[in-house]
Amino acid sequence: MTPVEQWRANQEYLDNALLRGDKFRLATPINQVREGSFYQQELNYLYDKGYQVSSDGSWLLKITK
Amino acid sequence: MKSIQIDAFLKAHGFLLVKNEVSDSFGDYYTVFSNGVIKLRFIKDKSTKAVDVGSALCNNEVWYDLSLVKNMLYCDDQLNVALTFEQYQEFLVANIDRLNSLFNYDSYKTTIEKLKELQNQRTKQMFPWFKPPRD
Repeated sequence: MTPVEQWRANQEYLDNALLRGDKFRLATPINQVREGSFYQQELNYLYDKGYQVSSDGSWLLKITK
Repeated sequence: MKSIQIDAFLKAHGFLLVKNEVSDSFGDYYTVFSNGVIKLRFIKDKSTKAVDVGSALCNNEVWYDLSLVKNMLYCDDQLNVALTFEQYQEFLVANIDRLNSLFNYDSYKTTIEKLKELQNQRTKQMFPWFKPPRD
């Protein structure tokens, strides 16, 4: 799989989870995310979809306005 | 530098292979070497290849991106710049003695504190939207 294909597969997985209203457990703390990684891309994607890191830093939660 | 050469370089500097794990998915892997002072982790995670460093004196699995050590040594404030795998290896080869000094018994605690601070600064640069928890 090319990186673009990998990201598409990831995005599809995330979109399905978004439709279910899932919250996301952060397996790696945000301060250990590597520049240019898929993980960085995933976090930015979910932030654009209205998610924010929980106060304890362990989850990505949908912010209700 | 090719992986076979970096293996030879590490062996010549007293490193031993500690762990070698290969995943079925995306060809991911991680390989850990240690010389008793430093441990080095070579990673391929999906499309990302990188090198992490940790203290072999701490009995834990805490790792720091080697690019942050580069930022620290060169006093570079631009922390959200990805290194290529070749750049990681070049830095490692050129600075192996400095790395040993940074992680020796007298220095490793100070080094780790600085790296933690750089991690937090990098997070602010990478994720301007992130609101860190308040103490």
